[in-house]
Amino acid sequence: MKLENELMRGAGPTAVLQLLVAGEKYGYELVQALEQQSGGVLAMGQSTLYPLLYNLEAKGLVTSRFDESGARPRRYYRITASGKKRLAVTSKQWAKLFDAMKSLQVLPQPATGGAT
Amino acid sequence: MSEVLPRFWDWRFPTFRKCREAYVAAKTKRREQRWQTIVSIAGLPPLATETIGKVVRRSRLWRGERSDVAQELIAHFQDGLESETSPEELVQKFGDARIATKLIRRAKIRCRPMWWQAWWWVSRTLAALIGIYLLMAVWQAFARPSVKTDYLALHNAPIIATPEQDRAWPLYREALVEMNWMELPKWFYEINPKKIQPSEQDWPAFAEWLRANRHAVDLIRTGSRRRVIGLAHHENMTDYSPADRAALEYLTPGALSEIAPFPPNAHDRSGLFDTNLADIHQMPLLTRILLLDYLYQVKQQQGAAALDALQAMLGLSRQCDHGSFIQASSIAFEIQTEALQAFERTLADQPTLWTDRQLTDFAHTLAANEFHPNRWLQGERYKFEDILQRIYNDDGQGDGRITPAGLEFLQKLAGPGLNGIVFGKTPGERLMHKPNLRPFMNAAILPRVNMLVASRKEMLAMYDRLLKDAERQFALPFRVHAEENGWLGEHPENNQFPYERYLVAYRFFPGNLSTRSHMELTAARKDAALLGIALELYRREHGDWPKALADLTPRWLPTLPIDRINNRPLEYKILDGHPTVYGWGYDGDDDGGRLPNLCDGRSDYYMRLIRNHPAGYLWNEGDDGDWIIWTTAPPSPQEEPKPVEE
Repeated sequence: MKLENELMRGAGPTAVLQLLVAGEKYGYELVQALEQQSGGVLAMGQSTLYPLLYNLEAKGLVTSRFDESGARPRRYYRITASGKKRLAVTSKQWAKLFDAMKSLQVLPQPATGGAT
Repeated sequence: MSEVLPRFWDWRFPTFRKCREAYVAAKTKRREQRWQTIVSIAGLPPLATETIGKVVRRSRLWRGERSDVAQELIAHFQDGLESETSPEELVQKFGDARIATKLIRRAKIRCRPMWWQAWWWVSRTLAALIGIYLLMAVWQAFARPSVKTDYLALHNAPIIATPEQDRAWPLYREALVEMNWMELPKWFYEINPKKIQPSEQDWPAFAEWLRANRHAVDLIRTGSRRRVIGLAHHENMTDYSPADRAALEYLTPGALSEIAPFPPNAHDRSGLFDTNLADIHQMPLLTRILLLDYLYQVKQQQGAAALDALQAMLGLSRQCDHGSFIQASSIAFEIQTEALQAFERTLADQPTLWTDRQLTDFAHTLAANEFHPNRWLQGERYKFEDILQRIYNDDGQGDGRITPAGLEFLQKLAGPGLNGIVFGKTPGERLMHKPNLRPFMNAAILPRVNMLVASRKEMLAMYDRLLKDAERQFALPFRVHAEENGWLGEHPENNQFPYERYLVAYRFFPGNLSTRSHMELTAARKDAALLGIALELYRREHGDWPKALADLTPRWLPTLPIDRINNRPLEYKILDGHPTVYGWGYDGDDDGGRLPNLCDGRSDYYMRLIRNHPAGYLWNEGDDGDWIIWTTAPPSPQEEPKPVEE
């Protein structure tokens, strides 16, 4: 299942920032990671990943470098301190949203204690 | 695409592939390298190459940015191919190239430097503003004035409604034609009226001319007793009847239009603004004839006939004041001043020429001859409304913007000043003087002018504000009024509102202080004449001059006139046997009835001093001396004025 565009617009940057916390990554690596780690839910059109990265870079949340030492020249992206702060904020927001959705029973409630 | 090597070779010969990729890496060190080259040597399958080409080509980014994007997408596809994904699947997963192009372009532009971002926004904003301005210019270029009210007809309506027997013009017309006024002797125009004296060498010629034209002079006298002049006005001399033109056509046809004509394409008629007050302009000529007659009657010791001539001059003055325009009222002031100057001189020199009864009757007539500023203020407002409807268009709500025709009129009105306001000292101002370019330049500057100059409603509101202020100031004592206006006031910079914005209102609002000054001086001369008559009548009854002015009231004067400059009672003294009535003058202190050191050649019109001897005086602020209203003393030689540089 893929997310609707509106949801993806909010979730995509957070997901990318989260992936970059582990270390710098290049475009295709991020595409694969998003697809595999989210079970395909966050698999975005690959062409939209690059504009997303450029936007994050314009906002100063990631930086990039061009590496020509490897097998082929690649642009690697790394999260910045601002990016980490933003990620912390948005993570909290997502958590609250998640809790709210659970309270509204949009999401399943966690299991409680034993059966009566 | 000839440089594109088939992927087949890459697969079969890994060594070759590594060499080729090293070459690509070396090539891509130069960011300025053309993205086409980078893509062509990347060795991607045609489908991927085509997709990258579409995205990068359509992005319209800078060369370096395109190269970056191309390299990144090449790496993307190469990584995908390396992970055993087919080119078709990779392209499918990549998504719509068109959307990708749009998003990449937008995102890359956001990454550009700050200075570029600022420039981008400023240039786009400027372009948008220029676009809006051009649209406004096109829109406003087609605006046309909407002349809905015929103010000239409104102005003429009461004149046309006047019964024939109340109209003086038929008699004046007959007199002017009969005396062949166009062929009047040269001396008639050249001589200073103040010097028309029996002692002059031309006196016999004056007398002969009067005898020959007695009937015409009597027609003027009879006409002066009628209520109004009674000639309907027109914009052009050609609109008057041939009979009227025979008595009027001393102005070049369209002479008034040459001052600031409305452009011919704006409307066929120029309305009240350009109205030719040709009859009013003939009144000074009739006044001169009556003055000549007065002097002749005095010479003949015909007191009654002389007073009749004076009464006729006052009648002319009254008729002019009905003209509803400041121009007509100014002529009315002049006529009354001329009449009273002559009367004062005779009263001082030949007091026995008139009987008590005659003097009393004349005093009553004179006292009733009052000017009403509200009348011409209202007339000027009609004129202003007419101007507005010919400059602005009408939005149906009483408001409007300046039209191209109105702009041409304003340019003539303001001279190069308005162009300077719009363009400053730029080549644009010079272009305005090229006739071929003028319509285009006017269309180009019209929105700017409409931004600078107030709208129709605002302009009328400003005029009404000035009008209200003028009415208030007319009710103030003259000194207070003059001080409010800085004595020599009425300069635009004295006003608290920007001159350029309210150019039309300021330009067409009648000279407030100058008119007031003119009116005060005329009224002061009337005060002087009434005082002179009262003093003479008192002297005849008591055998001597009164001890104080208060002795004259209420029998000879109902109330005493005041010092119009200082708004206080007038001073009175007997100096060398001559009664002298005076005010403190502009220096505001009592100098014992002594004239200031005047006549140094300065021509401050507003400070013109009246005095009861043949010559006028000029008074300057700060001059030490008094303003003498009335004295029977002859002027001393040193009091004679020097020539004034006007």
